[in-house]
Amino acid sequence: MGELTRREFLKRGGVIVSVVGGTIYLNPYLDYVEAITESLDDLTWDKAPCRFCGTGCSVLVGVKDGKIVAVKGDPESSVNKGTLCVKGYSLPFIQYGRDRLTKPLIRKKNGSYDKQGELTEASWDEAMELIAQKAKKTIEDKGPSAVAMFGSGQWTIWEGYAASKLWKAGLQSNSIEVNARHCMASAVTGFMTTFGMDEPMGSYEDFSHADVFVLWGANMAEMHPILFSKITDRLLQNKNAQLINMTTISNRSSAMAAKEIIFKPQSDLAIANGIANILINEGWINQDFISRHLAFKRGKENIGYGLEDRFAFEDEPKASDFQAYSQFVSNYTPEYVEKLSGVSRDDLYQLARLYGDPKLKVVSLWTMGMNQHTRGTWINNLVYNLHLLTGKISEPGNQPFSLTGQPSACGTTREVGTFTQRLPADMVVTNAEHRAKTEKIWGVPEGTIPAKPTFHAIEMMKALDRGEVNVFWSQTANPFQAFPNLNRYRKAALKEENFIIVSDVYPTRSTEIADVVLPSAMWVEKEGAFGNAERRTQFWRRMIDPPGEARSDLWQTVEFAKRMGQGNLFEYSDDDFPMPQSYPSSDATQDAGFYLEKALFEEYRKFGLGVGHDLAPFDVYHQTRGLRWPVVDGKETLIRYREGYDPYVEKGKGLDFYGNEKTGGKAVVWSRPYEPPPEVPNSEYPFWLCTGRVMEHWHSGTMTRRVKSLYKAYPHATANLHPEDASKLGIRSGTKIRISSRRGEAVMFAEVAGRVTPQEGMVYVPWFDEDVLINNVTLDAYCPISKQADFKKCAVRIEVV
Amino acid sequence: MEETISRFFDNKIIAIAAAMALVAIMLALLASCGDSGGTVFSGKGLATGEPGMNIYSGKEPGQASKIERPYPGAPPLVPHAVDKMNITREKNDCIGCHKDGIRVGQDVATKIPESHYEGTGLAGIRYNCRQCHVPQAEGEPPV
Repeated sequence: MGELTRREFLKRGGVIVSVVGGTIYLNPYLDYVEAITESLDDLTWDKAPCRFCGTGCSVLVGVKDGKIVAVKGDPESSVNKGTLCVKGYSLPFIQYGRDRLTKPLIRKKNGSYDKQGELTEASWDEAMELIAQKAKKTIEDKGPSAVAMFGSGQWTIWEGYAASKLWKAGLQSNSIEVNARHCMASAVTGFMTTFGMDEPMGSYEDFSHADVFVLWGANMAEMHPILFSKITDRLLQNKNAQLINMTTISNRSSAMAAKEIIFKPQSDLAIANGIANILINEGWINQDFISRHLAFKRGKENIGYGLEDRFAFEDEPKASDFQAYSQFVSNYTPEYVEKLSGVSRDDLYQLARLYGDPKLKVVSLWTMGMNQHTRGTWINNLVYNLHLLTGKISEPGNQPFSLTGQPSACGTTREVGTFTQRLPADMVVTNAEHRAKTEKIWGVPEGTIPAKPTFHAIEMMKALDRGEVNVFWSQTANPFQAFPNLNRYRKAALKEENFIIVSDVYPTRSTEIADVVLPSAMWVEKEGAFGNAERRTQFWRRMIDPPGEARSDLWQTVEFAKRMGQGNLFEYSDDDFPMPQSYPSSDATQDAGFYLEKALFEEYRKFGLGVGHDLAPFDVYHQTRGLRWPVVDGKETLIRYREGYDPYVEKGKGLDFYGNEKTGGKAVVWSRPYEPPPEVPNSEYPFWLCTGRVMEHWHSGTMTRRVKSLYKAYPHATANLHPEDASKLGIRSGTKIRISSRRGEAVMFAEVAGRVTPQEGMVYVPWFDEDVLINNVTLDAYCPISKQADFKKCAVRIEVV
Repeated sequence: MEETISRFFDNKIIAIAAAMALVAIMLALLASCGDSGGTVFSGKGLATGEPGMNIYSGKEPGQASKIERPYPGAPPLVPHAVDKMNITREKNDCIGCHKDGIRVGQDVATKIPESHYEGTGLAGIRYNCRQCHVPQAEGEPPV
């Protein structure tokens, strides 16, 4: 088949298109060296969002004989315009690792469950019965909050929705959390406190209009490659456009930057306040915008770090005004900011000039650098302040843009509300009206949903250690590799009274300490929906069968519900939701006898209609490359809060931050101070440790390290050091070292002048490697408002092994 | 200092003896499968018990032979050293050899396909070559 023909079928939309003729190398498993030649007959293509990050690229998946054999970047998608990153191009291999889990496993000795036994193959019936029995006993003994679900931003929308409904309405337990707590919680509380409504106002289209991009501790070149390439595209097309890379680590994103600004850990708080101070002093603020659209507040200070068990915090915001705010930021003189951050007065002034020049359109971008931060909510607030004071927000090219880590951190965890305190559409369990609305839609009696949140992620693990949670079920996550201060929580899981269930697709560091392992169906083995960072909801159909007895997490949750006497929560009529006829349905739908995903989504939609979270009807998403909510009268919304773009803004208002009813539609500028991190380097532990990802690997590497080309591109986690530090310690690239903290240690090889170079006094270690459990070293301190842990800062010692 | 808690792996030699004992127990369990009702799971996952170092070929362009693509349409993998090559706004070091697919040493550089161009230049969204094209280090996946 010629190149032209191939391009033609892609242009047809790529949905179930058969291709005839030509050759293709088929390598459904990892042995691409032994690839065989086959014809392209009967290859079918269908669309799906990528399985990996929050960018939400659309891919075309090529299936032959029930196996995925190729993928293409989807040319119809405005997100990625026909291209993908190296992880996306590796999607044909992620489900075909040789050790895919295909049977339920129960830890057994002499044929029955035993905490000290070996993982042994079992039937679904036996595994689900054991889980239900343990859950019932635990509820009887300690109440429903002792049964915990730990899900993920990689759950499909309906998986998260079903789990949330079962826990909050069925088990009457608010003990449901997600790994997105470690990823996006500070972004949520940042949005809620500043705008009264979660998620970005803009979209990726803004990148094509910006003059200045400011990265706040986000190495987009590796962590969001396609979005970084969209920025690159703008920089190449407009020679006046520029990128500023503010970071604690010299990284790949600097290659495209006009300026790399290295700052000391935690000092972003001071930098943002310092910029605001210059903006006010120089008169580079938008007075008209301030008086019409902004309110001012100040919250509690010296708020702690959540290191104690049962730590509790409630902010007490007080009204403030522009004058008091100006006074507050006036403490952040360029001299003081330079002392805290190491950023020169000149650089700070230049940054302020970029934000302040009314002719320049500015997009600020961030992810984990700002979110995984013991003052994560504050730094989100402070960067919003800069866009608000200058009025550079909610218009093409002028946006603060909180990026997302996981493919459905937004769509599932934030929008569905799968956190202990949240309900769908930005509602919370602590609000009686919110509970009543939820109970009505769910068809459960008033008073069903418990009014008190139980455990946020870190506290859930601490509760496991304390014996207040005894049943802990992880789906689409790897908590026993991913949590900070891991030693404590791995030990907690092994306590005799605790029962750990892990639903996953491969053996992981979590399955190795689980009592029951459930083999899950993944990605296009089921029907799914993700929501990306620009509010885009995207669907996919089931394209292949799961291997062996693997089942979707949705099926697992519904099966568990039935055994807990809560099956009625998932009963809908097949008259209303007939099974799909023209494409294969999921295991959950086949078992239900009606279109379960559609029924759940149509019910979930009711939460958002008319309150700014409107989603389109189910079928529409199967026909589009996603739509950005709110979707009103069939139209998606590119920019929220701006008249002419957002259907919720009344004619003549111009701009309306309608999420903030209490302030009359005004966004809030917060006075938030610099406060030091909980643990700083000293003579015993002289280095900062910062953890993160690399481009080639997704999270804990369980999928990407089973893809040969990705594994070989970056096989192992290494410790990246500054050359000066390495030289002082007698370390070179390839020296084996031990990194230790007050909590634990990890051994690995050093890399000097590698892909990234941290500032002096800091070591960077990615956390994807099962042989380098760097989270044994990290600190479980968190932002008291968002409860998101800070994986970027703790004090460590480095020794040659 | 606390040990890494693991059911399967430990860095200390003492664990090897324990592991050997474990294998013996597992074999015994396997032997008694009929009685205990099930096969003991043998999957060990990706952990090997040892950290590793990333070692790339370091071969200059033209000295290394091409690596077969994972599948047709997959981005070609990079057989040569890239650590001295930079992609900046001003200059993309990859383009020199790959634009026209010139002969380098014993081999011909893979030509950048038409799909990568927009107008006369490389499309901006495809300018960061290394977002897709990655070199390969020594060693094989443990699974």
